[in-house]
Amino acid sequence: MWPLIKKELKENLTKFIIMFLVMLGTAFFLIPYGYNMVSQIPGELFNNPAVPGWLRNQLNAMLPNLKYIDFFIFSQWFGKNLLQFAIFFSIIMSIGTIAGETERKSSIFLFSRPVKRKTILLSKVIVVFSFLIISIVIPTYLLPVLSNSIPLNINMHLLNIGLLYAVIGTLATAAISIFFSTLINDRLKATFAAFAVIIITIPMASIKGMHWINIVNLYVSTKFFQTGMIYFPPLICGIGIIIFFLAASYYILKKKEF
Amino acid sequence: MNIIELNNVSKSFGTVRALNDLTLTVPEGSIFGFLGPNGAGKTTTIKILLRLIKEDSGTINLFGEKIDIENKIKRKRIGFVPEEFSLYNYMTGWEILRFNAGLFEKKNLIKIDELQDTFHLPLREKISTYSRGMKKALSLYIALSTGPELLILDEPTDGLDPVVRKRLLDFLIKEVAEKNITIFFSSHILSEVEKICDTVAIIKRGKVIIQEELDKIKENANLITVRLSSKIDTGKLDAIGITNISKIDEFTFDLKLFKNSSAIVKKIENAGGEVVRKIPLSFEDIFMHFMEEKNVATH
Repeated sequence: MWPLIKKELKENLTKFIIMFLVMLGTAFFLIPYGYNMVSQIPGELFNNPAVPGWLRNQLNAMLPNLKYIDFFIFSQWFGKNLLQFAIFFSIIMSIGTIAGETERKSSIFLFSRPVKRKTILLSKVIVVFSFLIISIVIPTYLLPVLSNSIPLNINMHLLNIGLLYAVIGTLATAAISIFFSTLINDRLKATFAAFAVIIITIPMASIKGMHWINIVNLYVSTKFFQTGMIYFPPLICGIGIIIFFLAASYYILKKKEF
Repeated sequence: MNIIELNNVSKSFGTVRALNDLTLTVPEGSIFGFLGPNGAGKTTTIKILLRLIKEDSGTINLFGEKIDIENKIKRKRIGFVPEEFSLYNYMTGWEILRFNAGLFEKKNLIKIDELQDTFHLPLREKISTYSRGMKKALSLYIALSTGPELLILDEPTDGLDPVVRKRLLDFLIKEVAEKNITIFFSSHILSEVEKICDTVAIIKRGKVIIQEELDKIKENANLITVRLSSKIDTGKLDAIGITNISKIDEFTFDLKLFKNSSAIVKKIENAGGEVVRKIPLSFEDIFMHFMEEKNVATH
């Protein structure tokens, strides 16, 4: 499997570097710039009379929460920056796994070698998942390092578990993208399909009992943040999605004709 | 031993039947020509052998054993030069050779020096800088570098200039002579098949219509001129299975024979005819005969 992994590392290195730098850059800006800006606002955030009173009240009420560093990281990093980039990059990183080989016709070379299709898929999954995890974990752990310079103490328990949700959510998105990459030979169409699934599942999640169909809900758990206790449903659901879509990808790949 | 045995293999893509009860055998150590027009089913047959696609029905034996679903073990013994594929353009020639050797679990690359003496590829440069002919040559390097027992070539000379084409064909002949490997040579270029192959199968619309040693096929294919002692009676000739004659005069006719030449000549002689001229047919004539459906069932 090692030659395949080396090939995948080389093939995905540029995408990984871009993703890693974007995540790293965002983390750098978030604490020294983003948090500093919020924390230095004295008193009320909005005094502008042109802003309706109810909105002014809501925004002003939120300000003390934002000054609370754990809430700031929870809402701005896990709930916004990481979430947006992780969804986008996990699709971009995963969508070329099989569709890329088919599109550029290297699939005939690759799949006629004496290597099991399972091994080929596994090597691709290992590399994509590893790159995604590194791109999320390192910038996230950079946050407490950066916050020390202010200085601030970040609750590491909240950060660790928050990161766990984010990793599971990211890998679930990647697994869905790998599934479409296996199913559809065209990378662009596969990308649209993966995005479409994520977009469609957001409103579908408002249907009673279908809360966890929304992939975005896997990334951040408000219940965990409120209670400090690990809330298992999104984790179990995320792991289930990963297993299901990777198994489905393998099943399709095994039957696929090149 | 037969290296490849396909028995009644069928494959359809939607409503199109690509292979129709295809049966063929490739003897060990032969250069087997697999001839047919575009769309006849040559590439489909090769992809089935390599498990890139799966047959709908029929049985396939490779190296004397039935092939399994993924056929991993037997694929280690096969080198493959496809009609068209993309290699990884970001790799250099050496990198793709090493990558391929890794997939075959081979530590050493075989034949590269010998191949370099013939093709002089810039192996330290990226594949993206290679011409089409160079990529084709590189795929031959890849196929031979793992020491295959069976080399499958799908239109290997397509897109090559005449010099490289000749070098490639000469190299293959030498390879078989020295190593006794079996070559499955799929092509629609008759002159190449005639030059290097010892056994030939002609495929048409997914079915093998003839498979025989090339010399025998050519031996049986003749244009004969027959003179009869009495005026030509086509009804009488029909009765003994002689059709498609070209009359020269009332007593003489030309007849193209493609199979069972000696048996037909004997019939003619028994019917009071005499073969006055016998001209061997070209391989192109033979191929064209088998491509024209109405003639296939005759002689």
